[in-house]
Amino acid sequence: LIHYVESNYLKKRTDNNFDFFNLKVGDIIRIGYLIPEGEKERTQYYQGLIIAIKNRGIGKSLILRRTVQGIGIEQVFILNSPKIVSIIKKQSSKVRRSKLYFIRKLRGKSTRLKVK
Amino acid sequence: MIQKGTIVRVVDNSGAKIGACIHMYQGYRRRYAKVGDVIKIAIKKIKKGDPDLLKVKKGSMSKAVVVTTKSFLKTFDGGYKSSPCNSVVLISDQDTFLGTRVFSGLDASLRYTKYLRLLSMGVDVI
Repeated sequence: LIHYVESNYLKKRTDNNFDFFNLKVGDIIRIGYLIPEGEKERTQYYQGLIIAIKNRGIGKSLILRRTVQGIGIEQVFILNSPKIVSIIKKQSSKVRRSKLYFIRKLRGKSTRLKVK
Repeated sequence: MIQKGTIVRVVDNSGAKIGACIHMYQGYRRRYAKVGDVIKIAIKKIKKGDPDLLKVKKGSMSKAVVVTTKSFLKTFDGGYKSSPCNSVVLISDQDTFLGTRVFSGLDASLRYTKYLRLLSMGVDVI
C-alpha cells in the first residue's frame, strides 16, 4: 500500500538522470540544489563524497561530506526532493563498506580512497 | 543544540577565542540554542598579544549569536547539515557586532534572521 501511495512522488528515470539512479557509497558527486534567495531561486552546487546511502523508499537519502575552508561539513540530502536539480558523478571508489563513517576521524592523505 | 555550559568557539576578530555558554535569551527556562539564537557567554580564552588592543577581556561576559552547530540542523526540505564545531560571533547589547571580520563558514539559515549582515562578513555560506 505504501508503494502505491509513494510511487506518485518518486523521481522518474529519463535519459538525463543516469547518474541519479546509480549512486554508490564512495562516489564523489556534484549536486545541484535549489536555494531560495529573496523571491528567486538559484542553483547551488555542492561537491563531496558520499559516505552513506539510506534506502527508505521515498525518504531515500544520502550523506555528503565535503571540505569547506579546511573543515569537514556533512549534509543529508533527501533524493526525491524537488529541490535537487541534478546529480553528476565525478569519480567512483573501491570501498568494501556500506557506510564510510571511519573517514570522519581521518585527516589529509589517509582520507583518499582507491579509484575504481 | 547549545546549552548552558557548552564550550563554543568565537570566530570573529574581537579578540576572544573560546567562551562558555551561561545563559539563553528568548524564553523562560529555554534549554537549547541553535543557529541564529542569542546566548550569553563567559570568555575563557583570548588571543595572544597585547590585551589592551583587544575589545574584550578574559573573564568578562558578552552576548553572542550562534552561527554553526555540531548537531544536525534541519533544512527547509527535510535534509540536515552539521559542522564539526559550535561557533558564535560576539554582539553588543544594541545588536551591533564587536568584530569586523568573521573567520569561518556560516550556516545559511542566518539569512532568515536579523543577522543577515553576517553572511557578507563571513568566509563562506554552508
